[in-house]
Amino acid sequence: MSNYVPTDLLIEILVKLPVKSLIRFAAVSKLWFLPLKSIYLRIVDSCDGLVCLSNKSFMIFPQSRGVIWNPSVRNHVVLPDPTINPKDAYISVLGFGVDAGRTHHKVVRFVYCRNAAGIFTTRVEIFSLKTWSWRRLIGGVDLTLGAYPSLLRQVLLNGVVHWLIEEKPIGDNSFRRSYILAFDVGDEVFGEVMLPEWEAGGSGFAKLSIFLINESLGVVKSTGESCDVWVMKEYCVRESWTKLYTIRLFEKIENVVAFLNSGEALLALENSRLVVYDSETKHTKDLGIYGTPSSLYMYNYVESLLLLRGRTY
Amino acid sequence: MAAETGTPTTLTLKSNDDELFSVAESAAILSVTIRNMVEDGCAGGVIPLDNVDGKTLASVITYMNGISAIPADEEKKKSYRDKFLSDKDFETLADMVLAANYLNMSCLMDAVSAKIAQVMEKKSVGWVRRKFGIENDYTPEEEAAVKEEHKWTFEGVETDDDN
Repeated sequence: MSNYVPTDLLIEILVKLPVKSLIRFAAVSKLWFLPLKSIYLRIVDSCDGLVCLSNKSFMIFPQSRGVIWNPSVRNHVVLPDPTINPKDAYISVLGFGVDAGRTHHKVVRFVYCRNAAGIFTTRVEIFSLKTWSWRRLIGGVDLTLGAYPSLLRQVLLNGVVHWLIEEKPIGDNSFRRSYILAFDVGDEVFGEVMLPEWEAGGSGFAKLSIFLINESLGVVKSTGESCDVWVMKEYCVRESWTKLYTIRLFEKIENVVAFLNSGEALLALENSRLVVYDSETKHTKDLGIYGTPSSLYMYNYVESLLLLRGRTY
Repeated sequence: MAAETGTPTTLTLKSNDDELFSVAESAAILSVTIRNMVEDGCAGGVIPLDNVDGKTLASVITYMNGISAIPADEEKKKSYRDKFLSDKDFETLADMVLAANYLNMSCLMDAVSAKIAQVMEKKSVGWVRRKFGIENDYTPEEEAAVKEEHKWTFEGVETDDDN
């Protein structure tokens, strides 16, 4: 007979494969990549009891769909298909937030496109849970591709979603421009927030990441040996950036994960340990939680009744 | 009624290449497709099975007879299934998956798909494409990126011998 096994029966076989083989066969074709696609669910952010999830659509599937989930009421909605799906789409990233009046939740989607000449452009569309539709933003934002990995972590503060934009140095030129991209969820406009004016030496070899620290915008500059914690005491006032403290430990700090309301920092150390760091005593406390640096995240969560009846939000 | 149990009913199955097979009804109704035909009274003459060829049907009937002869002992049934599938090559297994699906035999379907998964486990991406007739729709760059991201899964892969 020698017919090939049809797709619907293929699933019967694939679910019986060991994980290692299943992942290897993602390279067979885009269809065989699908089982992995559904595995890589990533939390975009959480606010007002809603958790926004997206597929970690690494290069291959820019048309990733978003999910909004309320774990308390055990309901979720899958966002409709996005409208920007060009042939030259390269990668897409989702953001999630609520306006300052906390009445209007929106998802913002960046699509990076690469044309035949290798030129990158960014297109943006916004999904409103209230109108249940996508709307394209015309001439919204200009980003280079080097900026995209930083979009994986966002900070929502006072109705504005923030991402750290770090342009990659090109060639030997170590100059790079870093800033915080801000998206006002209510007005749907983009802006920039300036980073602190670093002392001489700049941020050339340091790793930057942004955080919410005591209801203010914070930035951590890590060199591997130490981490400087900065906070912007007055929103959008560059001069108000203040260095709170420097974290220096005997062990290597892989990642700063988050800041607790108490002001303590959550750190991912070598050997995959998660610890709480107290800046007063300079001591760490082991939490007994283990994970690779890229698997440890913290999101604020409060219960709410939103999405209790699904789409009628 | 006593007479019926004394002489077991025999069904005649016809493959899509016109081979005829006799099989005890008690064994044949392991297939939900055949059982439905019997219950609907459509099994009086020859039962045509348009999606199964003679070679595969012969194999499936061997399985039907073998497994139905084993009393309700899941351990023994499992070891029979393992032995039955142990010498089958990939093409035969692929044909059997299609037949098991068409005949609606969930126990055979499960066993054969598990066996195929076992055969595939250490095979290369190229082997899978050939055996499943899959066209590679990645660009070379995309394929390289997928392989690079999951590099560790390519350790211990058998070299292709197409067995």
